[in-house]
Amino acid sequence: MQSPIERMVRGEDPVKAGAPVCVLRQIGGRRLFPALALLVIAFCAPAIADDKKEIKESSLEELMNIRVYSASKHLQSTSEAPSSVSVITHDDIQKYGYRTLAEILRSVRGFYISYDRNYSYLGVRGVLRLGDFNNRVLLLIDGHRINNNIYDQAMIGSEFAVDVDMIERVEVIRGPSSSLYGANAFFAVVNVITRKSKDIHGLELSFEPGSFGTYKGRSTYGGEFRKVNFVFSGTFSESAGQNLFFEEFNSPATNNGVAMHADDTSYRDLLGTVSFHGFTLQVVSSYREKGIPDAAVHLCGRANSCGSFDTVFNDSRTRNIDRQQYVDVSYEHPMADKWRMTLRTFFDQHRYDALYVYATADVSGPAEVLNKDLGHGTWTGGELKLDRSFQKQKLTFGTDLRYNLQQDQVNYDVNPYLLFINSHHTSFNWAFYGQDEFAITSKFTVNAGLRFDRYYSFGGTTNPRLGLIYRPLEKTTVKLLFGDAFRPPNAYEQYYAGAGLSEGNLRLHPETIQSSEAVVEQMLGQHYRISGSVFHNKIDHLITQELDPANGLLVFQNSQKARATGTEFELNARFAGMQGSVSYNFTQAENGGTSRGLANSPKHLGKLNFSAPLGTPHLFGSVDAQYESLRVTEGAGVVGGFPIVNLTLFSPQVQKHVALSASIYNLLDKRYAFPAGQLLEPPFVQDGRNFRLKMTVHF
Amino acid sequence: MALIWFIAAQVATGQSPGASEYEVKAAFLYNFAKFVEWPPNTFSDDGPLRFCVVGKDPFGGELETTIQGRTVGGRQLAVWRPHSAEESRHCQVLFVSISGRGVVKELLTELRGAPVLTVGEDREFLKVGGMISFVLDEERVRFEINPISAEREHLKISAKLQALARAIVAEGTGK
Repeated sequence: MQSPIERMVRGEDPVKAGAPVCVLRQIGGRRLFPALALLVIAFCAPAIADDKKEIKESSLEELMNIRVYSASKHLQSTSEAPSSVSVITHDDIQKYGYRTLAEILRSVRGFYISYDRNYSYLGVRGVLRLGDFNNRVLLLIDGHRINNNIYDQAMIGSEFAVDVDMIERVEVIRGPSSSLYGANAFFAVVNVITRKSKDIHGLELSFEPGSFGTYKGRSTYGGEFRKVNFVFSGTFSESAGQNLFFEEFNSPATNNGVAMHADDTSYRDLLGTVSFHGFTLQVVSSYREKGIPDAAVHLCGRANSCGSFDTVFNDSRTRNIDRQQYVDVSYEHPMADKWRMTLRTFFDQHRYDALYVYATADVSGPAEVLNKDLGHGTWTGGELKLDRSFQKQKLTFGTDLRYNLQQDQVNYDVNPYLLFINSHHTSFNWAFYGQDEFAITSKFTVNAGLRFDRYYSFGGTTNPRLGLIYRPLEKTTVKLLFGDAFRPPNAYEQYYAGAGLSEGNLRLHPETIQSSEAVVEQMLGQHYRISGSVFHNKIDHLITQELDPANGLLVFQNSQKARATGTEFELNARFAGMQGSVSYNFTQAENGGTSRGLANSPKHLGKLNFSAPLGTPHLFGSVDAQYESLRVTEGAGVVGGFPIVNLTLFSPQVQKHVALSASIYNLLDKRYAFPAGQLLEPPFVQDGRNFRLKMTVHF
Repeated sequence: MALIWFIAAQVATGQSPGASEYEVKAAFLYNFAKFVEWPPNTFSDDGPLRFCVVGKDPFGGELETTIQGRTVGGRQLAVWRPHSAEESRHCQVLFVSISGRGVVKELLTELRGAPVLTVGEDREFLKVGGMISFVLDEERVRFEINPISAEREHLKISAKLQALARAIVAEGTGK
């Protein structure tokens, strides 16, 4: 890789008055970081003295661009929420070098990730079911639900529809929230708030090269014209991926176990948000194509047509494409008598298209068969919410409507043409909810909510939530939280039938969770916050794929349960430009019926995030680290515990208008893997040490 | 690791790299005075333009440092700490710090009829009659304006200041 830092530095002007500059010089090789840190200190320290004189002489515009450090407000604001909330800001994303939403979520207390070289999956408090579609978390973009309508999947890896650098803030609302949000708000609600024109002001260009032949480019423009605020952003990214080795195919006939050029990723994201006078119009369009290097190793991909045929190993034609688009219009308006109305309507489309290459055993016909698997969904709907604040109370009422215009699943062989699955459905659901936040005394607040959802397929479900928030002292908060949530059966579980292999199940009903949690949050002085919680999750009616004894076909049934109990601690600190958090989660998760430990469930999760300025406000060094204890795989094998350490050096202003960052991921070059979905399947090995450089220019 | 040692040294010597929040807010207050017009008979003599602080003083001398040796509209500047609402009426720029929150509404009512530019630190301040409020937006100091409160005391906030405000919160009646 070239050294853009060095190239930039050589062309630089000497220090201008009023613009303290920290000069970076790159030293090659692996010992970059400590040597760089020392040099940075040497070059930057003298620049500090100039800053003080500057501020009182600054103009209004200059004052507005100065970064200041203030701890307590940021730490305290999430204490008032009726659940346990974690917030990750745009600033955090730059400092810690997060490349995807999955990497952001991996740093959250109690959360963990799995990646199968195709999609990323989120586990919360000990539960991440193997082979499932990541539909136990509700993912929102600016309040717009993005879980698709075939798999209800929350796409959080490179398949997420928005560039991670266009995120202003991620709000992770822990706990079941179906009382407000409805379906799939099972373990958490993740609301991704995108950057608006007030956050951008002008043109921003970004370029980042990284390991494995990866590069990403983004251009964003934000501005205001006659009271209309707008942001437009486009991102493209290509990654060649790695040539991966699989022991199972280690023979000369199958390229000695190496899958070549099969781990590629490419994506394009477009985002446009326009707002004026309470109206917001947002358009999102994203495309992601992923080569699937391990389809042969993990025989049954989503095609679910495994058994008679084997996917050909080392064929880079095996891949899938996800296309997502939506238009969302929302309108917020204060009404008569202090009520506020929010109206939203949307139109979404998601297209999943996959191609698998199979070898046939049939000697007389073609040696290989191309199989296409697709899931196309279109949906539309509206939401109306009314809320009003009284002196001691805040009332919210709302109704949601969703019409699934298209839920198509098709699977066929191209040549000779054989149609296996041909499922077309439409469906409809609506809901009504209410929530009351009542301050009984100045120290004690009750938050109660209830939502009724009616589904065309399985009928109705009612989900309550109760939060008791007690603040005995200004700096202490105690919360008792109880809530129910549900995950409805998705179109795949209900309708994917055919091929003589699987049958649908129209009698499926939703999975349910009943959760209770006690949390204590304490501010220590202005700069520290510590919190601890104890929780219990009771999960029932888990939809599981089984063999129908009557006909030997695969079918989904509400047949399992899980129980998870645990405790969590977190310490947050913020002062003088430094910020950090340490968290620990202990969860005991069991299969409800048998009290056997749950597969893919780490008992211990530790997170460490720390960021500090290195001698100047213009350079930050940050550590993003996680530790996970071992996970049991489906076949009672074990996947080892591992620490992952990521380091990022970030300069928000290496030159005026230019930000630069350099990151090392998996610093310790730990070889780690995640359990796979089927019995006897080998685990998914993850990446070793890799790098990324990023430069952003603001005009 | 050299990095950790260096950070520890920084913290130990009490040197905080970068700008302190109140240093920046003090500079803002000075700038507010430059872009606000007080009604004609505000100043009865050649007395100074007074910056006042009510509640626990968070500036630690920064306000004095900021105004030292400078003028606004040809007028000298001074920092003052009033002891009562009555005394506060003689201020031109009055900063209400967070710890004074409990008495804010009362104080603002007592200031009616006096041409005082009131500056606070949360949006609630604007809703109970305050004029400008500081807001921290991702480590940067921004401000929001309630023009109705300013108009009520015949203070003119210049268009430039209004344009740079993060939000205009026009609440309350003009009377």
